[in-house]
Amino acid sequence: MQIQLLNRLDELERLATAMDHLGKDWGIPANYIMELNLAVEELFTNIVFYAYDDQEQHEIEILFEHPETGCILITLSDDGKAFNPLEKSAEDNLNKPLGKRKIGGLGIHMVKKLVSHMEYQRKDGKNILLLTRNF
Amino acid sequence: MGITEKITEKCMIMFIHGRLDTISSPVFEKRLTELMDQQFIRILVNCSQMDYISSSGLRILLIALKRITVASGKFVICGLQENISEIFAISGFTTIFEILPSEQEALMLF
Repeated sequence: MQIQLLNRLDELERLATAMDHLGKDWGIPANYIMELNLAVEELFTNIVFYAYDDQEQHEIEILFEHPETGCILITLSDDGKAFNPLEKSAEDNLNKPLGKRKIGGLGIHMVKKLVSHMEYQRKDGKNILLLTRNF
Repeated sequence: MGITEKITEKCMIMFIHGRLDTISSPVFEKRLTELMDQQFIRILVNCSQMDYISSSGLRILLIALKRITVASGKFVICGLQENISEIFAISGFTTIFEILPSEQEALMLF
């Protein structure tokens, strides 16, 4: 299944609905769908907030594949600024006590924990992020 | 997402219903900020009806915890559903928040 979202936060609603349907169609337990929805929301939100300097409308494409039992592949493509989320780490921050803990930077860390594998490519002016989740 | 509130002798209890995501988090943030501005610094957030939380929701909880701690108040969370509890754990939130299974147990901390 493929879905095109515009770079606006209210598209998250459409994303959540589409993923719910997907879970039902593919017989994926709701808690896995919730976790994957969360991973995609974090990445999508990052794109909306940081990928574009212009005020134009952009399309973010998300492809869901279920090649075999116990495996889901999700590919996100956007034509924003080059950004490799794998280079970013908030891990250190998470071990700090409350007083020293920074607000934010959490999203990407959560994504890394929620998927089994992540791969980034910059191709033809697009960021392409491939997520694999085994369960 | 919906928020309902209950004032008890010990604290203000906020119930979050549904999804605390990037879209709905600003509503929660606004209300929580209003309460703290009104000197409500003993707050219990009951999450038993909350079935989704993204980093934007977690961020608001962290902001509130910091502010309330500085003000010598108390900020406690209870009723996390199993998969939400997992999200708190991977975010490193279980070590800095006081999180209790039930409202009854959480109220004993106030």
